[in-house]
Amino acid sequence: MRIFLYPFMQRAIIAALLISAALPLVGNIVVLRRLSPVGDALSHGSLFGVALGLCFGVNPVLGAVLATLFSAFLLEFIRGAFPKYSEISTSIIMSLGVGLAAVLSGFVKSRADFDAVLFGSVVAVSDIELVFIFLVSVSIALYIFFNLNELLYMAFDEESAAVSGVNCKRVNFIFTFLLALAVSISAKTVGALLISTLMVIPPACAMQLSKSFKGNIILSVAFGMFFALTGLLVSALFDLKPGGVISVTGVLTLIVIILIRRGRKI
Amino acid sequence: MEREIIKVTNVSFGYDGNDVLKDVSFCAQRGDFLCITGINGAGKTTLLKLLLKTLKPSSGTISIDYTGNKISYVPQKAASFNPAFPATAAEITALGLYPEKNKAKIAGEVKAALKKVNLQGCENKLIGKLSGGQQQRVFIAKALISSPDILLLDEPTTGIDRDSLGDICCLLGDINKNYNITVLMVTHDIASIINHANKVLYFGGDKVSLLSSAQYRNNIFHAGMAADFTAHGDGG
Repeated sequence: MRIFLYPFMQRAIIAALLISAALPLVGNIVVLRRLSPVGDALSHGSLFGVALGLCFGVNPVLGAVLATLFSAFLLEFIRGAFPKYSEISTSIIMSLGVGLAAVLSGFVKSRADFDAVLFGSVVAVSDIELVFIFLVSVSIALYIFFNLNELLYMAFDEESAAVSGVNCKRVNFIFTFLLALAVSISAKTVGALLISTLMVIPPACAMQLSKSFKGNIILSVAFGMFFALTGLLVSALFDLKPGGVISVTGVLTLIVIILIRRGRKI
Repeated sequence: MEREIIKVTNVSFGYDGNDVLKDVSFCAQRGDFLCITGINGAGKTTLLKLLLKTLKPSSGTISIDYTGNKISYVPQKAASFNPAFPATAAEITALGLYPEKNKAKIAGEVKAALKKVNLQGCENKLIGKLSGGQQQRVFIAKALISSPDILLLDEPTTGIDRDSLGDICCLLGDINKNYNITVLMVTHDIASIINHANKVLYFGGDKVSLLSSAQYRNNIFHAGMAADFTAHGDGG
C-alpha cells in the first residue's frame, strides 16, 4: 500500500475520481438520448489530436481537446447531411480519427506514449493536466447541476422541450462542447479506446437500480468512482493497466447486477 | 356565443414541395372539444405542429387568442417514449412547469396535477413501472400542470388497452367540461371519443370539413360503418 503515498499515485487517484465523476454525468444524458456511439466516435477522434501533439511536441491532452472539439462539430455537420441516417456520421468520425492517428503514428518518436493514450496511463498525469482535468470536471458538474431540468426534458422528449421554451440549440451546443472536453481529458488517463467504459457502463448500472432520474445520476457517479478506485487498486497490486482493469470491473459489475435482478424475478 | 380562441384561415403547408395541407380553414371557440380525424398522411399532426408554431405555414394565417391563454401539448407517445426511461411520474409531470425553479411550488402543483388525472400516490413510481393507461395519464398531467387554456393531443389513445381507453376518454371529457379547457385531439379511434366531443375536423381526401359531432356521426361515421358492413357482407 506504500505505493499510494507516492505523489504520482495521489495525482492518479484525484484524476481518476474527477474523471469517473465527470464522464458518468455527461454519460447519463448521452445514454438517455441514445447517443452512446457519439462518445465512441469522439474518443476515436481524439486519437488524431493526441498523435498530432506527440509528433510536434505539444501536450497530447491539448491536442486531444482541439481534435475532439473539431470532431464534435464535424459530426454535427455530417449528421445534418444525413438526417435520417445519423449513425453514418459516427462511423465517419471514427474512421477519420483512427485513420489520421494511424498515419501520424509513424512519426511519433515514443511508441510507448502512443500506447499509453490508447489504453490509458492515469499514473502519468502531470500537475498541469490535473489542473485541466479539475477545471473541466467542475465545469461539467456545474453545468449539469444548473441545467438538469433542460437536460432531463430534452432527453425525455426534445420536441416537447422546444415547445415549452427550452433553447434546445443552445443546450445541444454547450453539451456537445462539454462532452468533447470530457472525452479529451479522459483520453490520456482512462485510454481513448476505453472512455465508453466510464461514460456508458455507470449509467447502465444505475438504470438497473435507480428509482428516479436524480437518483440515476447520483448512482452512476458512485458506480464510476467505484470502478475507477477498484481499477487503480487492482492495477497497482497486480501491475496491470488501470484503464483495462476499470473497464473489466465495470462490465463485470453490470453483468452481476443484471443476473441478480433476473434471479429475483424468477 | 363564446369567442374564437383559435382561427385558422386558408392555411397551406408542404414538405419538399409536396402539399400536406391545402387551404385549411376552421375555428374553435373557448371550451370546444374538437376531434381531428381522417385518412392517414392527410396532415393532422402537421396541423398540430402549425398550431404549436414549431412549423410555419407556407400561406394563410393562424391566430390564437393569446390573452392569458397557454397551450399544452401531449405528443404521440409511441414516437418519443422509452419505457426504460429512469424518471418518476412526479419528475415527468414537473417538466410541464418549465422553467419554474421553486421546489415547494413544483411539489404542490405536481401533486394537484396527478390528482386531476386520478394518479394520486403514484408520484414516486418510475414511469416504466406504470401501465400504458397510467403512463398516458402522467403525460396528460404534465400538460395540465401549467393550467393551459388549450390542450393539443396527438393520438393519446394509441397503444392503450380497451379498459384504459374508456377511462382516458372520460378523463379528457371531464377536463374539457370541468376546467373549460379547449381540447383539440388528433385521433383515429373517433368512436371512443365522439361522445365527449362537440366538433370534428374531418380530413377526407383533398377536403377538410368542420362538422358538429352530430353531423359527423350521421354523415360520415355511420356512412363509413355502412360501407364497411357492405364490403364485409359482399366478401362473406
